[in-house]
Amino acid sequence: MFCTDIPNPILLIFSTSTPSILYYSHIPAIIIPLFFGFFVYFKNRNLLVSKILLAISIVFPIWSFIDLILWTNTSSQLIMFFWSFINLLEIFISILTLYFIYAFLEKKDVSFTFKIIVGLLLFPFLILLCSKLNLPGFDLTNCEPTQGPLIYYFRFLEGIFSIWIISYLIYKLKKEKSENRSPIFYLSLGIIFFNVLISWVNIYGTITGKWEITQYSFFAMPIFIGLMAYLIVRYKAFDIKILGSQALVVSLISLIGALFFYVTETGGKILILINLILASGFGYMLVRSVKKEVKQKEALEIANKEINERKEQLQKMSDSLAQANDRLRQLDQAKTDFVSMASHQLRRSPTSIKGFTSLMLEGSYGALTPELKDVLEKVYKSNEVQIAFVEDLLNVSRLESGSVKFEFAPAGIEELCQDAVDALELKAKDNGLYLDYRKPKSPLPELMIDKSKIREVISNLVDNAIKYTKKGGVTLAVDICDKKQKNCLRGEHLRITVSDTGIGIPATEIPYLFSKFSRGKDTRRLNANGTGLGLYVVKMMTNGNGGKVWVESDGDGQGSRFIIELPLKQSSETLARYA
Amino acid sequence: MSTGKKILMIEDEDVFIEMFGNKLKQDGYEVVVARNGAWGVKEALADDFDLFIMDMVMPALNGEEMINRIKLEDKTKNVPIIVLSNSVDQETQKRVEDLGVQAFFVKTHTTPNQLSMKIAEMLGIVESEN
Repeated sequence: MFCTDIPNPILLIFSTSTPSILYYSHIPAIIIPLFFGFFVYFKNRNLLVSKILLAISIVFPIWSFIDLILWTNTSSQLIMFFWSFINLLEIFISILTLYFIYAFLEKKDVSFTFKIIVGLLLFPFLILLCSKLNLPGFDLTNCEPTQGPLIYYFRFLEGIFSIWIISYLIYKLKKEKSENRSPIFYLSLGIIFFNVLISWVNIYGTITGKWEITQYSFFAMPIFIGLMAYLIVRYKAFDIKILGSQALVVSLISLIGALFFYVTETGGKILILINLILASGFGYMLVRSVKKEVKQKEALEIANKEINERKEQLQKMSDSLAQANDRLRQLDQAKTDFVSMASHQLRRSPTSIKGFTSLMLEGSYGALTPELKDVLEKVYKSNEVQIAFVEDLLNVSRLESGSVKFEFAPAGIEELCQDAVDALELKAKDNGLYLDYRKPKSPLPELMIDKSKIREVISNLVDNAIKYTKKGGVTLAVDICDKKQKNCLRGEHLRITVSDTGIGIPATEIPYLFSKFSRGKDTRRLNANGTGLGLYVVKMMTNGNGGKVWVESDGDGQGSRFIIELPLKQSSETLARYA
Repeated sequence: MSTGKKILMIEDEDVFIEMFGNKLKQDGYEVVVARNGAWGVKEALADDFDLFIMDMVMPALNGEEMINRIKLEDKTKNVPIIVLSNSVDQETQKRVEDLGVQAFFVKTHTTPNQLSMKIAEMLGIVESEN
């Protein structure tokens, strides 16, 4: 029979005499690429690869559609018309595939040379498309045109592009480092699979005449497009799950839809329709839940990113703090070194003055006249003042820089008071003053203090009292102060009082007494031998022992009382500070 | 009048060598001077001394290391040491006392006479009052 006996299909493609496998293979191949292509394009309008993929996903459906027309139609004009350029579309797809992989892997557009080469290869094919070299005639028995020699050029082009694609992929695969390999790998897999299936199946068909198997190659397209879309989406890292689920649903629906044409009886068609509705419903819910999950994950990722940023910030802060700390430590060390060096140097001259004058005064260098003796004594005394000043300065410097270590141990205050009295008794007597030590009523408990510091503090205060008293004397008293006495507000502690009958302190000066270098503004009161630092050092040392020191005076000429208070129990803070 | 005691003084400043050294000589001690730490250790090991007086800050070998070296040698480890220094730092003083130094004097607070009396006390020559 002649093919013209077969009726023409409605709507160009739907005919009852075509095997339904045709529809089953072609229709998804039309819908799915379009879906993917447009989806990826709308998500990534700017990328060249998206545009190329869109082109592929438009050309291939057109090709599938035309193929379907050719299969289902019998009108020779229709067939001749469409058949003439279907091969062109095939070539286009090969070229677009090559273009795609270049753009994807090189991440840029192809060179102009490339475009020229491809154009030149294509050119003869284009101009000969409508000539007798392409399709010289029509065979009525098969409903097919007869292929002219152009077909060989076509196969040649297909072969060239195919080899070009495969060799480029292999070259790229070998060249890239392993971490970049997986996109190339998947791409290669997809491309080769697709390429083989389409081009070589065609070639097989040409050789053997068995064209039926080309049907199965159409299944390659959805897989291929899916893979390409996956690659773009994955390596842009977004929505793959949503895309995947949407793709699954669309594929499912279109496959069931295709099945609709497979089944001929109405009962079957109704069942399929029900299936279609159920699949659509299920698909919609699936996509919705996937979207929700992805949104949650994205929110989590954003939160995670924020946390990481925070962590980085904190790390940076901690680093800069550590740096600042190091710097401070360096400065501290530099200070200590300076003080150490300075103390060494500041003492050199006074030491030799002291040593030699003392030797002279002792007669090591011969007898001295009374005048010489007098003068030398003045030199000696004034040098001692200088030495004391340097000592104070160094003390203050060390106390302030924190390089003075406090060693806390249980100690008896009575002993320290006795030591001070013993040391200064003579000096007081020399000045015509008394020095009384008023012992406590009952033995005092031992205190956790730095013995040497407290000893120095007490000595200092007693010495001061002697210095600033013209007649009368100094009394050193120590006792426990408890709440029952009207002055004790801070609870039980130990109180040491150094009271004198000396020049006293006017109320205006009391606040400044313990500051650095303050010695009172009234020149009468100035003691030329004072350094102005003594009380400051006393204060620092007392505070370091967790205690307090202050002064009370009834005014000018009324004497003064210097009071030290020490806690009976040392606070852990104090102990830790200097440990 | 000689005390019969030999003192090694390790000090780099001439002024102090004269000041303290001469006084000690006057008081009857035999005084040998070493001007730096390394030289001092050599001398200490080469001869028999009854006492070492040393400064802490010196070229070639600092005081602490010197004390360590001296304490290592059998010959010298039991000889008393007096540190006579002007750079005082609480930590160093503590460390040095832990090493077994007999006395720590600050030059600025010690006259040559006071030093001599302290030495006499330490070596048990004369019972003196401070």
